[in-house]
Amino acid sequence: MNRKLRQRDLVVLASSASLALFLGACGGGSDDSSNSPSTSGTSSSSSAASGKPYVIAEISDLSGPVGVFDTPPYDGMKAYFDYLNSTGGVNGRPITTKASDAKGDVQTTLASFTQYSGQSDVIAITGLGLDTQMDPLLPKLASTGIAAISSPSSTTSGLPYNKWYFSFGEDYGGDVTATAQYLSEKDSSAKIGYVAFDSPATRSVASNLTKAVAGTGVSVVGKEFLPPTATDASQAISSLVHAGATWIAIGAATDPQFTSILQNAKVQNFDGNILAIAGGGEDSNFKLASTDKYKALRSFHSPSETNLPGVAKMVSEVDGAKPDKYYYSMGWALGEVIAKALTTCGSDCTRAGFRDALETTSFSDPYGLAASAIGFSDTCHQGFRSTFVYGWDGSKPVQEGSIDAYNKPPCGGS
Amino acid sequence: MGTLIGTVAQGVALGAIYSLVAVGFVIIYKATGVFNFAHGQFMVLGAYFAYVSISWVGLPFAAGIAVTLVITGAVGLVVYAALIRPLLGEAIFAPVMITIGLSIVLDSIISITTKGNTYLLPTPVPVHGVSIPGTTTRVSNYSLIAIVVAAVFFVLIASFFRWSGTGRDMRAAAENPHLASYAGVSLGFIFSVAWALAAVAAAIAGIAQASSTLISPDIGSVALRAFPAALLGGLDSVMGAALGGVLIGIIEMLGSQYVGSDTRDVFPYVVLLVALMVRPYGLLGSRQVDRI
Repeated sequence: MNRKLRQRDLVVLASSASLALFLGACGGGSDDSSNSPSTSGTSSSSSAASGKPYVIAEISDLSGPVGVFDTPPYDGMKAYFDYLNSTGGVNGRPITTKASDAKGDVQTTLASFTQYSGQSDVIAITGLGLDTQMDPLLPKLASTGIAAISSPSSTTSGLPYNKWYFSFGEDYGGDVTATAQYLSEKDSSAKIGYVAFDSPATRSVASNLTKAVAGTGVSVVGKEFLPPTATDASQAISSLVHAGATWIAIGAATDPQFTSILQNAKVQNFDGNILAIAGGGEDSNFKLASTDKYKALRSFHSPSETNLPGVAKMVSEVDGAKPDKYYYSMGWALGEVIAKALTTCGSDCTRAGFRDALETTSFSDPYGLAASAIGFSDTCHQGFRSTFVYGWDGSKPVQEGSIDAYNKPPCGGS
Repeated sequence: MGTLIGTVAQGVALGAIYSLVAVGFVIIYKATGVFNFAHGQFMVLGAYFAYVSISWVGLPFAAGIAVTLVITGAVGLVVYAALIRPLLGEAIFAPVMITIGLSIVLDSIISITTKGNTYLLPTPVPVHGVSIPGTTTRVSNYSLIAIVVAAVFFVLIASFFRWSGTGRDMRAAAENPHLASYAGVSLGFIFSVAWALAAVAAAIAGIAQASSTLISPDIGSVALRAFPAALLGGLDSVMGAALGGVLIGIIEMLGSQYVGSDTRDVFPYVVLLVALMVRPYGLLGSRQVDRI
């Protein structure tokens, strides 16, 4: 009896621990103190700017399944601040950053936000790459009087305008517009098989894409949502191929999922095209696909495109690192935006003043990283309005065009 | 019908990897009564070691894999000697907690060392697959290789336990460690072999998994899906791990096909809960398992 009890105890213990670890891996909750915010400033290169620093707090998923998307924008933004600080900073003051790794967990995000918003030196929040993290924060932004600028993606509930919320990321509504517009022009009878990791945002994209293409001849013939921790997409791709998809549209996928999707498309002898809507536009993704049937939306130029003068200039100003992600360029451009708004805001800049400056400052894109003008207004808080489309020329990704995906009223257009 | 057969075939392919992971849980549990929650990290280590051996060192694929298995097995030995052996005889929770802590430490080491970078494992076989007869489903070459490797591994491991002297000693030690010890079986040696074997199994699973996706820290999450497989098959049954892995793989794929791909995380744990309630010792496990 004792033996049986011991065995059962062990099994229950192990099962509980296994389940807890599994939930942890899914971002099911963590109060780990290692998630507490830490300062990672611009210590080595801030000698040229020696005043009291402007502090930007980053809350994003710097590790875990979506860490591959959220880390490059933060690295790019920090690198720009480093470069700027080495040339005198803003108004004689350096810009430093603090970062909290939310690991996809909403509670960690909220805790970090409470901590950062309570620190008087923090002037704005950046990151917040998942809508599940951003949505609960939207009402808190106004009550704490701090602006949040999300990247590399946005929440549709905060757009086109929320007083304290700014998007410098890929807006899922824009993704839908871009995809529908691209496919209706490229293949008016396209049958889309949509696959993405499971999140409210990707489900929303799939649903809205179905509505957006209705009546155009393009149709959505299948939708597959993978748990974020899943690494195998064989069944999903098999189902989409059997559903008659001629285009596989990848909404968003972790790196292992992305690889599995491409490999299983080959396994199933898929003869159609693949369009990466979000997150599949890196050079490594194109190399993996190695086919001209692979297309991807890329919101900013990649640091690898050093044939472009602006990109070459950015890369030359990066201290030490060798960036290769277009999300890094997005972060670099965001750094420019923040720095220019701080310049407008002045040396005694407040949180409210910084928010106002984001709306009133006229931004430029001196490095030419985006597909069209960047910046905000008092009616539109989407920071960029267009996206590039890239294809494969046999050896490298090449720009095939651009789409004004976000250029609709009140963000422009007609 | 064709869809059903095709889905089952995909489930068997997935289950082959689960089986390789699950057997690692079983070998260690059978020998030492410890659940190794760092098993997934051994998978990740194995995959990264393989990449380094083949891509950086430049070893031929087969040699790189062989070196990887030896190194990962050695890591298993070191973990046992440094962390588990000092706790033998202590409360069962102690070594279990050690393995949970080890999983977090290894995660951090892997993250710091690799900076989260992911790599493609260069394989000598093209990814294209073959059609399942009677269906329109195709299974990748990597999946077929994983099935064959798992089958060979289980034949070897079963033969090892049945016919080799060390294997017999391990079975004797698992059955009654005190009696085995009195008969001259070195328990320390047996436990060391168990940890090394389990690490090798994890490395094989890690390489198989990485071949069809990427080498990334995320592949360790497969271990959390394979735990229900070990439990379903029976925590002290090597062949139960094979059966449990395949069944979990099939159940997961059927759920994904007929309920929705977003539900596939659910099914392994539904099976775990049912197994706990109905048959806690598993399909092929023995009713009485004692810690040694």
